[in-house]
Amino acid sequence: MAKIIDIIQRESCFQPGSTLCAGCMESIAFQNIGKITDNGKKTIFGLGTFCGEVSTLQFPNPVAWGRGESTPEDWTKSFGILHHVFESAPTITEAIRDTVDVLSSVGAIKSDIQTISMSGDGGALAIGLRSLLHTINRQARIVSFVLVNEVFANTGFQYSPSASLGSDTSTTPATELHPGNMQPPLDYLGLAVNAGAGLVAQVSPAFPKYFLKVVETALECKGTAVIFIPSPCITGWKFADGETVELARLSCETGFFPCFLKKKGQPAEIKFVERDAAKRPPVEHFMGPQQRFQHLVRKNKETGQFEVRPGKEAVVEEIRTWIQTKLDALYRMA
Amino acid sequence: MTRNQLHLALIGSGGDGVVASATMIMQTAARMGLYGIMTQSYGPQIRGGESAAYVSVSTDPIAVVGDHKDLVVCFRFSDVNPFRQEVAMAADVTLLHPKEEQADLPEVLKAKNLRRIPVPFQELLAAEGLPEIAKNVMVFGIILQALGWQKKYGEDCIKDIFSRKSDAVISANLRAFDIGYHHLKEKISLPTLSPKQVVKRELISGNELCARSAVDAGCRFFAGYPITPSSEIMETIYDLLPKVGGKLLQAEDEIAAIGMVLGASFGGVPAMTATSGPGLSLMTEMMGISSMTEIPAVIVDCQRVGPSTGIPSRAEQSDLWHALYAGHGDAPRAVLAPMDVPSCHRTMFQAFHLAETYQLPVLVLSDAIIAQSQQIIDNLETTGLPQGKRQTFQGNGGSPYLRFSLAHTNDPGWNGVSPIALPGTPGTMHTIAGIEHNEMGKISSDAKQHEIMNRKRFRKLDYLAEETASWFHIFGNPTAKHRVVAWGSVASVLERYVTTHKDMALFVPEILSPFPIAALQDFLAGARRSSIVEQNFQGQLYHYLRSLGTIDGKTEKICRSGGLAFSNDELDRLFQEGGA
Ligand SMILES: Cc1ncc(C[n+]2csc(CCOP(=O)(O)OP(=O)(O)O)c2C)c(N)n1
Ligand code: SF4
Repeated sequence: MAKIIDIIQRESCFQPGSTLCAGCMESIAFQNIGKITDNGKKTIFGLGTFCGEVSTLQFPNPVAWGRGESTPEDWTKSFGILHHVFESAPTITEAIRDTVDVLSSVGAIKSDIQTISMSGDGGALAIGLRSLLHTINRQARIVSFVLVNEVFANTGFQYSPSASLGSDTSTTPATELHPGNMQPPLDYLGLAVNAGAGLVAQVSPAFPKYFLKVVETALECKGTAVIFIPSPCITGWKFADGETVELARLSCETGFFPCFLKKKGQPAEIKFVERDAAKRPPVEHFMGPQQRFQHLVRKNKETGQFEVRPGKEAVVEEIRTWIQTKLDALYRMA
Repeated sequence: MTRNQLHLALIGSGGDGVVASATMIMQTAARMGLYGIMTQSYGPQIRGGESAAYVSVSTDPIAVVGDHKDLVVCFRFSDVNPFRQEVAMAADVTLLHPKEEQADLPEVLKAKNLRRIPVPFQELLAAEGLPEIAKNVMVFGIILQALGWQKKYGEDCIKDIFSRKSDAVISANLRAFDIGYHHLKEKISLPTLSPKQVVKRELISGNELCARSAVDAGCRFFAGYPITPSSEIMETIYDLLPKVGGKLLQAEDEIAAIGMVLGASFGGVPAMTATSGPGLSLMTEMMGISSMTEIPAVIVDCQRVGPSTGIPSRAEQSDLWHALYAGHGDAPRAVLAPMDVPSCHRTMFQAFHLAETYQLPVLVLSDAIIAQSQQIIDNLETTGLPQGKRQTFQGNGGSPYLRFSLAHTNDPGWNGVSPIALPGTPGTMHTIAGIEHNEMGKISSDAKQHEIMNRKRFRKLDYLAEETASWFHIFGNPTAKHRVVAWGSVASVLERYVTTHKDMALFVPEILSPFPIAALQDFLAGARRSSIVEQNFQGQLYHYLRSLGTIDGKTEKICRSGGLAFSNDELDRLFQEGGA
């Protein structure tokens, strides 16, 4: 395992020039992933359709992912990129892995190649759940990143199966009748674990050291490694500039997106979040700064604190219960 | 100069709010009694990328944005490049651009009598301490003054838009508007449009209208999966369905979505889904179940450039063959196509009418232009539109219920439809199956039975074709020398074209399958020249019509890939060159 200081000093293969929104967590994640994967091996990415693909491979803007003008001389730093259809980034990446393995076994490829798939949560957990689970079940040796922004950002911020309870999306708008999304999110961590993944993690670049460690571990994994990256979406969640990392941190500490790591056959590790609700920052701290929860939480003009809107206590209580249930389930794996 | 139209372009990047400003202009035009149409152009990026909004306003109904712009607002010369193929300047265009712009004037913005008006956008905001977010409202004010429109209309528009916000927000926006409005000292010399009638009209997009008209036509269930450029149908219908006791589900993918639609429809509820090319591909297998099990379903396809992911935000007419033929087996269906925003209304009524009456899948081929254009329209009539209801089983004098009854096969008036029994109707328990079946719905692998059932299913299409033989429009002088056929948004560009080309007539089918063949043959009879104009690479309509034997090798095929609407200049050139 490389030293963190060395990783930080690497040139990331994820080059500037993407058209991701300023303040998008995905670009922070990609920069970090770019550094960690830039370890002397070549990497091939299979991308589904999501912000991280649409906004990073776009002509005529300068291209990210280490191509374009700033392509490093050293071939090991250049990348194979395959933009696949929306619904099966993991399966196409699995096939790339198989090809690489065959070519290696006959000596056509001498050095190891890393195979990585990237999808949004809509792509991986709605239409692409089949692809993800079956790839895991086949123990394909790929790392599958899922950038979880809780919405289908590309098509206009509709509900995705990971959408938090109470969130306002284009297809679950908060109205007088509905308090936003009321469908409890899919237990994607549990699904990936139970499908037999070699490693399942939920990590955020808001915890940089831990993030680097987990991704490095995933690259070594002999089975399928699935890494969910909670990705505050400035445009869809509607929060102020500069709050991306802080919200990512709060999303873990309040229990919305607990940091989680489970290697197959070993107990899970849950970090940066307390199991005891009394010791966690209140959910209002995470919800308050985001307009998508504005119908539930407001800022008290006098105290400057976020508070539950009168009449919305029951919904917020449901959110708290959901979080506790989820955390308890994760702790049972620990 | 007497003109009854004005064409505007607003070009910027995310954050400039070009679409917001353009929408405010449209809303104001609608208030004043003018007509208008607005389209947007953007890349696949969400925020930060270049975007453009094109607005045409007119004293008469207008369905296509004008090619040559009279007024252009450009926030950065560097933003213009992605749109260079789609904007053209009128000879005496006025250009508003930032005062501090240093770059050379881009080629496309040049014009013979170009008038440049530098505007200190940032300074104006800063001087009043207004936030960046107010920029679009200020720009709206500037444009309103430039057009010479009354301030009051603009203020009303702002009060309306921000009606649910606090007084502070409203007054800040009114201030931004005021600063903009008074920045230019007077109207710039553009033709003044006086509405023929001061009445407030409605501004609506094709997608919104599809959703609303579907509900008006009886739709009570919608399942879908987001995809550009169709998602607004789902978002709009989300609001509408609960009010009429209907239900909406966002499925996990398009396969599930159409499955839900068929389930709801089996339960007796008129149901639909909406998608675009990639989603339609996934729905294809179950379109076959709809044909086979005779369960009504309405499927809207907002066509975008394909194949695969293609260009998600841009229109093309390349799903025609898919709609006509896709799927295995002999699978009857009907295919309809609106040609502009208002015609979505009629098309959705037709779609539900056909699906429910004839118990089959009906595809509606909209496209990205129709779907996402915002148009100012007149009140839409519902009376006179077809509103067929599903024929349900009302008892059989004691004989057993046969879901796919062939009892009337020898009756020449029978249209092939067998009454549907709603689940739970006593005494009507039956099976429906995607496997070939007999009258009872019991599965059967008898080849003769298969032939009989195919005849039954296609018999419906014969009667449907008879009913829809008059579902077409003719524009221009029907005896003109040159006769042209077009459909969808291309047809509305040609409708405009034939108004200034008196030697041309245009045939626009409202239904593509079964095609109104006899009407087209009549239309083409005696023509000196005929052309099929469409926006796909292969000439899908042309080859389809040839396969039907409706046109011969003398008819020209004029087609090119989609992504960019035809302009009048391009049509001039294409007609001059003649097709293949
Ligand atoms: C078969 C199919 N259906 C729908 C789409 C449209 N589509 C493209 S991206 C997207 C949503 C992506 O959501 P997510 O995976 O969460 O990524 P994000 O945009 O949020 O980054 C959808 C629905 C498609 N490309 N193909
Ligand atoms: S829409 Fe959201 S996820 Fe997409 S680029 Fe912008 S901030 Fe990132």
